Amino acid sequence: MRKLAAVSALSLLLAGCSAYVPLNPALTHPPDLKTGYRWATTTIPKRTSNTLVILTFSGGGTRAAGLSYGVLKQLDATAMPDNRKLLDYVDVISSVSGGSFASMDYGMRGRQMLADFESKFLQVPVQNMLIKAAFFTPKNLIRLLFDPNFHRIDVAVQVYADVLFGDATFEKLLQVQKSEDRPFIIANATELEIGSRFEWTQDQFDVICSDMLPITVAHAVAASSDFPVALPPMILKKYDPSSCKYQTPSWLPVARDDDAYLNPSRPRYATELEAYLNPQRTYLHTLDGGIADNIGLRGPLHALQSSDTFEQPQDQGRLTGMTFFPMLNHAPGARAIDRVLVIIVNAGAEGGVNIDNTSAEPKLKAILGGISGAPMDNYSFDSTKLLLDVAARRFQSGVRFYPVVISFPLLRDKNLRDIVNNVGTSFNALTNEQLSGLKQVADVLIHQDPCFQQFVRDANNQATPPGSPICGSAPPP
Amino acid sequence: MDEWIEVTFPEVRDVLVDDAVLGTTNQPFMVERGHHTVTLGGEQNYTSPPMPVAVYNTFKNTPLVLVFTLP
Repeated sequence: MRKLAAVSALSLLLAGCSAYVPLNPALTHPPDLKTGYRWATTTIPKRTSNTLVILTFSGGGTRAAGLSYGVLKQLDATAMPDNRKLLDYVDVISSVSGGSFASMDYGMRGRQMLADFESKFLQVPVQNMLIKAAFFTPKNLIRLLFDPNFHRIDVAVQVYADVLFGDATFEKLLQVQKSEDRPFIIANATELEIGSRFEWTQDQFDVICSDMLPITVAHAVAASSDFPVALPPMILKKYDPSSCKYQTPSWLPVARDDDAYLNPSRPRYATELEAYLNPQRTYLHTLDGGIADNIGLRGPLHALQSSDTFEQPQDQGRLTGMTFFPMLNHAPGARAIDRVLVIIVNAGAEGGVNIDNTSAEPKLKAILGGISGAPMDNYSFDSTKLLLDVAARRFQSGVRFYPVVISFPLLRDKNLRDIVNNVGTSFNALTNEQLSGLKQVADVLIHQDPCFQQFVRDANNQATPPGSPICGSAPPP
Repeated sequence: MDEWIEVTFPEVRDVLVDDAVLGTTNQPFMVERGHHTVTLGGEQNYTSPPMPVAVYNTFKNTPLVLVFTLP
């Protein structure tokens, strides 16, 4: 009888919280480019350095987090002429999935992250913690069974908060960005139905009339690494655009209607924005950012190639969403950029020969892996190639580009290559050998890259020795 | 796809492309290929009419030249 009463009481209690409660609150004022966690409110557009430094961190579980961390350490070891380190010059880190653990932790804690990221995350069995929290923790089991507002992705948020992020919100992230002049961190997810990149910035949240400042950064990292099928999508409320008086940017109608053949990227971007505004769409379902762009490059690439953003410019056109055009053009009031260093950290593993060595029918896991992995890898290659093309085209602008690619196939040391390629895509703890290998790879690849070498020489006003490898965007002799 | 425009005008003004300040008058600057609306900024005594343009096949040394004049 007592048991029945307890179950009844629990049922009543849970019924009381059965109404959907969105995790993202409504925006209660019109979009304001002077508030919220966005490009325009950070210190980045107001910095004085003429060098724009962009990092992109790919997906790939702890393999990606470890490689990204290794690259951050290398930048911290690279001296610049003003006695600061190259790490201090990083303006933007755009990340996906496993890479978002490194980017967000660096954004929150700065150099402290470099001191203990290994013990706090890389060598912690986070995958086991997720399984234990989801399936062997009574409190969570009950909530998962009865609370419609609690899903396995919320368990992941709890675990990531426990391991790294605590209850830090985007309000806190913006505060430390400003006080410590840290990079602008963009954690990327994917909107499942639209199929587009969904970035955790206020420029994106304005479109759905939502305020992201009170949301925890653990939510953003969980969304960015929300591995399909293993975890359900993270659901966000999309508020009506009129509720916050969201204003469609003025470039949209003409780009959508007139540029289909002249420049198809513009109508594509317009269609994407309109898909978010579709009144039938009242919720968003987001998954791992790797589905839309597994190397986190597309956002910065767009900002390098276009002045179109989701925001209508404000303040007589001097406040915009994230576009680098005003800076590259030395437009009035904008930070003047003469050099652009983009470091792509791609932790994609080479597959090896696993099914082609036998006539046996492959297992479903291998087939699904091929179906999902091949398009992602091909798209990542195309994104990288696009950046190299942009860099090569920009001679005439007078801005010098240094595209740097950190990617396992570029490794010449086969043993080292085997070690890092064999790190699975999971959140299992890295072994000492794997961690050491990833750090070594970051060291080797960044220093063998001709554009990185050229960048360091140019930054320090050093002459290029004869016979030096050529950076792809070097001006013709 | 990078394109170039230059707005000629007797005064130094901000140049707005689709309402964002991307350059200044009498100097070529970069825009994305496509259709845009160009206006002049500034709080002075002349407000330019918006000029719709299609920008393609330009270079820095052969930009699309847009002539704005004082009334």
